[in-house]
Amino acid sequence: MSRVLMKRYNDDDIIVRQGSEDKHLYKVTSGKVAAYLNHGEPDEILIGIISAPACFGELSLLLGQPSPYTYIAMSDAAALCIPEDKFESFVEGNPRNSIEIMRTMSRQQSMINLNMSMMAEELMELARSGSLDKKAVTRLVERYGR
Amino acid sequence: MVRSYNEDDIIVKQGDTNRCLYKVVSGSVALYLNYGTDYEYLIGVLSFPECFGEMTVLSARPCPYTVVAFNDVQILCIPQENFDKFIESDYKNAIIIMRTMAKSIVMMNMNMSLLLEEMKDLTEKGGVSAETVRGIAGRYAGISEGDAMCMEASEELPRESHPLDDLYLDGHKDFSGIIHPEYRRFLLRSKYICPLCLEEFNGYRIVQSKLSLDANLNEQRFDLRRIYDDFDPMWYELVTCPKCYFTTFAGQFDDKKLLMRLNFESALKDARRIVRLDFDGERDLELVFAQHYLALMCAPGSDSFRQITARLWTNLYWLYDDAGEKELAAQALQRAITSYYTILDRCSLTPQHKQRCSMVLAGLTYHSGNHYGAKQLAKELCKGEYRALAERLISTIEEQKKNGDRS
Repeated sequence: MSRVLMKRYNDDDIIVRQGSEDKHLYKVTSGKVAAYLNHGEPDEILIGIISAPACFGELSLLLGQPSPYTYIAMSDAAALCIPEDKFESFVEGNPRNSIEIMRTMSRQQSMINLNMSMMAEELMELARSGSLDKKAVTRLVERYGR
Repeated sequence: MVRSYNEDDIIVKQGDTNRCLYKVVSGSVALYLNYGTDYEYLIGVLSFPECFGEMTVLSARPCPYTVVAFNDVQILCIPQENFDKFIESDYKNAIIIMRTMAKSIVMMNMNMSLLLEEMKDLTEKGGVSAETVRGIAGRYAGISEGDAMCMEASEELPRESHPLDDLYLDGHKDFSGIIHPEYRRFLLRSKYICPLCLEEFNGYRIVQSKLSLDANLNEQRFDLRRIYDDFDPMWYELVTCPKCYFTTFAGQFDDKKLLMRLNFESALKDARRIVRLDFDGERDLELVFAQHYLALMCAPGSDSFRQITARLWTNLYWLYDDAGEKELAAQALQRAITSYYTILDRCSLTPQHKQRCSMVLAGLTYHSGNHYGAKQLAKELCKGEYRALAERLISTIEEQKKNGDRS
């Protein structure tokens, strides 16, 4: 039987690895958690810092997607860890928390939207100046492609 | 409140900012990007019990798509103030909204890769026209009418309608053409990464090694700039990302927390659409002004929002004063003073930081002509770190009072 657990982490503990199919929702209750893209690789990027009361892991839980980022405890942190089959009852019992999850997701959407429109803008700029070639697209892929 | 629509009725327009969540009760609705333009693109069809418009309620973003009734539909409209109650009343709504959002996040990410794929294929075949790119990009990204106009306009963009107009102080005129004095020997070229769009670019950083804080004591003019800054660096103090125009103080530029807050994003987009700023060439005063106003726009993205705002207004006061615009300088000065009082009232400060704020405030108060207030502030500082400056301010005020009494 899976249960909702409160987990504690020390500084630098890896909570979820990029690419893993960890179907849990994490709600940060204390401390801070950093989200990294390509953690430990030369092209590592810090995507953001999550602190209470925000959540992460919602995409993996809702759609079964592998985790897009690696999540690491930045200080001593604690998170409520909600397994897939307890998600509905968690939302039912914690409407405030579900609004917080929605807010996190909404921010994520606007981030992607912003990137998309900037990329479109850049593409058009390149095409107008006649310098849209294979090399330019490769550079864009490096910057925007995930 | 339930509303009824007939087939083809528009329920929400792309760009609408009314903060409402909509739930389909019966019938179906279609979501379009760029509805009614050449770049129209159907992105999805929703029916009971799905919802749309959640981003307007959750993050105050304008609606990214146009929603059209697909057949006869009934829509439940939940205004922002009732959103919490709506979620509490039936948890299933929350799950439905989350699933829709999760799907759309995945779809958007996929679209990014698809667009890039398509571009890769095209460029492999050779030259690509701007028109083709615009058509393809339009299918993936919402293009507003402004964008479309901007694309048709020539390279030289008009300057008359300034997107920063609402933000600029009334009466601000174009100060371009005034060339700044040489600060080059105090500058280091430095690499920055924009916390908002992750663009990497080169900018300038000020060398702050041996420039002394109390150099000001021996100067005729009592302007207190150096309390904050080691020399007069207003020309190079702010860093602007050349791509997305995100602007803030150099020291704040790597604050990654910014990513979490995007309330200034659409304002920046407007700014990019109309003003073209050149950060590579020689700086003129107008560029420095524009950077300050852009930074004011971006300040809410930072945790030290109040401190940043206060410093920006203080700088603007000095800049207007340097440019000989007394009227505008006075307005900026008032805003700076108000901002510093807000900091002292509301922020928890270290004793050292508090003294620094009070010292700047004393200086600003002196410049506003309130000599009595300035003296009171300075008196409290006579025991601390800024003793020398505070005492000098008091003696300046007393001297002026004597001279005034004589004449």
